[in-house]
Amino acid sequence: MVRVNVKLFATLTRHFPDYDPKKGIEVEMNEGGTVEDLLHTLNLSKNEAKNVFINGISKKITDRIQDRDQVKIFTLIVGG
Amino acid sequence: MGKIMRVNMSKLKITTEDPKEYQGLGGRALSSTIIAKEVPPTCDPLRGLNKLVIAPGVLSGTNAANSGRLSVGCKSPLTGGIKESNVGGNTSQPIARLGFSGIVVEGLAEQGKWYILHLTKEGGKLLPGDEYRGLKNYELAEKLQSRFGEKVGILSIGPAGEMKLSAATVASTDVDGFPCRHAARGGPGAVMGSKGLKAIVVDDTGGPGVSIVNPEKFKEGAKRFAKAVVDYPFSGTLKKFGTNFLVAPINAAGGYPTRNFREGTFEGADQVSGEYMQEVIAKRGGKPSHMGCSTCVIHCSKVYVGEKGEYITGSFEYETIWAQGANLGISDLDSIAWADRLCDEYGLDTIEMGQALGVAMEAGVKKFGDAKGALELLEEVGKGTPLGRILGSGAWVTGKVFGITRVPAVKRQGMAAYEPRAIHGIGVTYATTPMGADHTAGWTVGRNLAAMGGDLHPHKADGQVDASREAQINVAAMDSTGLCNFVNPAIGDTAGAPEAGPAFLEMMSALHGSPVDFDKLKALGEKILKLERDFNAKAGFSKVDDRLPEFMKQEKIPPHDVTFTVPDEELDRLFNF
Repeated sequence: MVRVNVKLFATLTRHFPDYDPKKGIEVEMNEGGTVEDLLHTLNLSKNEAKNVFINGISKKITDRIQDRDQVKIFTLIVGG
Repeated sequence: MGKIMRVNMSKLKITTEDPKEYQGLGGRALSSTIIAKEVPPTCDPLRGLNKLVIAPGVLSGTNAANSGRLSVGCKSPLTGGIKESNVGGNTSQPIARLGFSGIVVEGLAEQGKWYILHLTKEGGKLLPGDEYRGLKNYELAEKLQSRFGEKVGILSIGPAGEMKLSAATVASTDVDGFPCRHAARGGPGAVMGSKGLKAIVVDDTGGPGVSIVNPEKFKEGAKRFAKAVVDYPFSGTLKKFGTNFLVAPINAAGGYPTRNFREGTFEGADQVSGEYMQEVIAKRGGKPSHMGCSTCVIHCSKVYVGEKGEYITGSFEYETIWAQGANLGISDLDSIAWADRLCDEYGLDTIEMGQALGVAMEAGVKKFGDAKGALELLEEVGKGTPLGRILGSGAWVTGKVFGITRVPAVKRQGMAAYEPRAIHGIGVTYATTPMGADHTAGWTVGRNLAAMGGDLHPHKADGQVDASREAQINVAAMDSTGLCNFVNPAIGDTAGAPEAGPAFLEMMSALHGSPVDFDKLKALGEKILKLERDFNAKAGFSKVDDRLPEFMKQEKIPPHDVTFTVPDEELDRLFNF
């Protein structure tokens, strides 16, 4: 098993009523799991959770999760 | 298509015309076309040959959702190149509804004399304005509202514009009548000040409205469009957290410029984030979501209040919070809100001032993190002290005066809240847009960071020039419609918001009475960019001006320890179209 810490931003926290922004969520998943598997574990839709950063790098949905990764998940990023 | 009003400040004469050559143009397309055609590129921006063009977008004045954007054009005293600065609020709509596509302010008033331009259904009138001299924007707006009516829209300059400082803005009142929205970038307020025009008061009571060729079709398209924008998930994010929701993801990407672009992450990000700000506003009884601009259905605006619930500022945005916050190492949100208020009062670009203060802190004028010191520096600008005037002339001048070479500017205009070494795509836009470093001129950040479905590596040159070109062309066209930037994601998302694009085209087609498609808009965008670039070339710009500052190619920025690596010859390809 691998353990990762996940922090959620913007509207994503509404799916987790007890979410603590300082602690985030600890997630356990099988070794070799991908970003997509992580979203699945958290029950987050790909349409809403548009941006996943692992250790400060923007990741693709097929990228693998490593033990102790720091994961941050955002909604669509558009700006001005 | 409305008429063009010419306001000659030398002769104090107003004329109205209906020139064929500007038919069908609005917003940036109109302001840039008039500047390119009528202003000598080599002229002094603060003398009589320069013009100030105020142009509502073509959809402005209709009931189309988010159609309240106004383009303010001139030759920029900051960059020396062409400028269109864009603003929301409650002024674009009434100008259009009075039947005008553009107001062109020409010549210079007699030195020391100040005027107010009053626009009503009877036309325009220049009124003596000496009594308003020296007033800050909030007091000025209050006085003008009590004289001309609570509902008027007001464009105005504060003391910075009167002093003709290069960071001076043209303020616009918002829907509540507060002058917190600004055509800020590139110093249009200095041009307005040079002409002796303190304010434009717009009262559209009894105005003819905007003529629409197929009103029924338009209504249908507008209805579908509004629904598509409201339903789009991104609109919900903006409504809840405002533009400042960007702090967390941009900081996570190492692209949140900190302490004058020395670092790419800010340790105080949690205290200045959209999520935190939302909590503070809700707790204190401010307005966590609010309509800042006429016809807006998104409501990204926030009204920020103090501990006792007293109004501090509105239009408290991502860029401002960064410029006056992380860029100066400051994480005290109240102090940042006051910095925004001071800039709004004096009529100063919050981004340029954040850069100027950052450069001054680099020079040791104050220490990074000194929130009180930052406010003191802004007050110097308002008072017009020699130090204040230096800072109010922008980051580049401040760098020269203090011997600082870490000046994050292109074409003498300061950068915005995206680090170009950490996010190469925005660096290409900063370098090449005719506007000087401007994040709105081609926002490629999403394509650099949205790795899910996104395609560009933020630290690599591959594909960045093509992405920036596409974005610059697109935004040049959209800046002409009068639509807010924040409807663009829905329009562009054929899978997520399939109705938005077709509904937008339906409105545009019904307005003009001829089919408008994305190819036509692209052609318009290309035309605008080319004429802007051509103006700059004639003003003396060359490819050496399309470069990021040297330090960004040499100094690595943490946490990713990267430099800007897009080769010069790649940048020179941008305008190959």
